[in-house]
Formats: sequence, structure tokens, C-alpha cells
Amino acid sequence: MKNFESTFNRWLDGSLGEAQQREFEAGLDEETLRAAKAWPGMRALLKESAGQITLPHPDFLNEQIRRRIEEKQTTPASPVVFPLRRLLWAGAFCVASAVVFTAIFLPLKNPGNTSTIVFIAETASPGASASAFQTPGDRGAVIWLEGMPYIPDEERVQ
Amino acid sequence: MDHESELLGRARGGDTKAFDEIVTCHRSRIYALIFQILRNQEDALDLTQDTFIRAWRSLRKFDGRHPLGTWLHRIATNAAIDLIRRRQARPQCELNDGAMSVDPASRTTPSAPAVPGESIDRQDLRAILDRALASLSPEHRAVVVLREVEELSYEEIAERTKTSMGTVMSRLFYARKHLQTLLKDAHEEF
Repeated sequence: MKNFESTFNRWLDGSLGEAQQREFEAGLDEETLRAAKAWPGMRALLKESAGQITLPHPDFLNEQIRRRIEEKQTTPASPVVFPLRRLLWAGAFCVASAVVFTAIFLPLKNPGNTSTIVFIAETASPGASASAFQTPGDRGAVIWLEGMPYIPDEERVQ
Repeated sequence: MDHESELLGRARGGDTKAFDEIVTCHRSRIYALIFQILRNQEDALDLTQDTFIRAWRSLRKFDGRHPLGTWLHRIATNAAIDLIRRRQARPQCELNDGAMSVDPASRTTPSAPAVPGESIDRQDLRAILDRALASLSPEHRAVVVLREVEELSYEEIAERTKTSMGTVMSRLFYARKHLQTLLKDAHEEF
């Protein structure tokens, strides 16, 4: 198809060789041949039509251009605005850096035997809270209850 | 040194009056070119202004190997193509070459003479052709205008429209076929 398109264009431009033209035209229908005969006239009319286009208010155009040039000359250079795309890249870079930093340095802050707080829960009673700790290597977690006057019997671990 | 070179020299030195004369010499042709591609007066006026502003900013880069008109023409075509591309990002109309089918009975089909055999005068023919051109997508219209009116080579069109030769050939083919189909009732008149 691409080859046909290309040949068709060259044929309409009249740039095919005589033999090639005959061969190409043999495969075309009457309507296409008729349209091709009209094409030079259409081309001439297209050019004529282009020549008829008139610029409205031409002097106003000059005035506008002059004004814009003068504005450019008198206005100091505008500060460089950080383009949005660069800001997005900078943001992504910051997030990536934070992730890398966390992955590298956070484990060092929790070396070997230091216990980690799993959770801290505040209760409705003032001053009462429950915390859970875990030490790497241990098989269980410690639940620390603070500020509770007593543990109800039914909640006590047997 | 001819008058245009002299104006150019002065304009490069910052003489806005000389540049104003350059604008006056070329404004109509630049406007006509952009209007033919975009078919919108407002856009064409804006881009004509932009073309000359871009030219003013780049005057020092103009090497004089080609005539000034050709250089301005190139800037104008680029501006029009850029605008089409920006609008292409917001899809509004069909852009696939293959999707450009033609319904002979569609409302865009220019009417044949009221009485068969009656000839259409030149002005009517121009109006018919204008309507047919307007019905093309901007990309297809740009290629037709650059080829048929501006007489650029396929290679030059590819360079101006920043597309491949294959795309130029394809667009030109579909645009020409589209115009031929729309104007088939008027073929005898051309």
C-alpha cells in the first residue's frame, strides 16, 4: 500500500517515467483517471485561492509586533522558573534517597540485642498504657502494662 | 547590497524600524501560508505575530544562505505544525490516515451545479475547494498546502512537518484522494 501511495503521488505530480506511467494507469479505474486529469486545474485554483487570502488590519499587526519587541527589550529577564518536570524528578529523587537511607542506616540503629517497641496502646484510664517489646532472637514478645490498679481475673494469663 | 540585506543588517543591530519594514514586506505571504494550514483567522494572526517575534530573536542566527522569505516561511510552517501538534495532544478529530474515509453523500460534499451542464464560475469553484480543504485534518491540509501551493519537495515537507517521508506520502495520498472525492462533481469544471 505504501508503495502504491508513493507511486500515486509521483504519478499525480507527473514525475513517473512514460513506461511506468502506462503501467500504473493500466491498473486504475476511470474515476481516478478522470480525477487526475482535473488535478492540474485544481492545483492552479488552490494557488489562486491562496493568493486571495488577505491579512486583516496589516498595520495593526506591525504595531503589535513592535510593542512585543519593545516589551522584550525593556523588561528585565524573568527569573528562571523551576520547570514542573524537574520538580517532579527532584521529588522522586528525594523519596528514593529516603528509602535508601532508611534501608541502610535504620538496621544499624537497632543492633543485635536492643529490643524494639512493637506497639504502645493508651487506655481509657488516665496514666494506664500497654506496650509490647520484642528483642531479636527471643521467641516471644513482652507485654508491659502500666498504670493499671489490677488485672481482672478473667484476663489474667494462666 | 540590496535593500533587504541593508534592512537585515540594520535590524540585526537592533533597529526596530528596519525590522518593521521587513515585517511589512513579508506579512501577507506569511499570514496566507499559516491561514491555509490552520483555516482560522485568529490563530493565523497570532502565529504570524509569533513568527516575526521568533525571527527577531533569531536574526543573528540567520546565515543568509537562503532568502529571508524562505527562512521566515520555515519559521511560520514550524509554528503552525507545532500548534497542530499541541492540539493533537487534546484529540479533537480523526488523525489516522486510514480512518479518513469519504462519504460521497456527506454534508461536506460540495454541491453540483443546480442545473446539470450549467457551469460553475471560478469564484464558486474556489469556495467549493475552500470547503473541501477545510474538511481535511490540519495535518493533511498542511501537507497539501506545502506540496501544491508552496511547491516544496517531499523531503522538504518531511523536514518541515518533522515526519518521515512515508508519513508525508501517506498523508498526501489520502488528502489528495479525499479532495478528489469531495470535488468529483466539479471535475469537469477544472
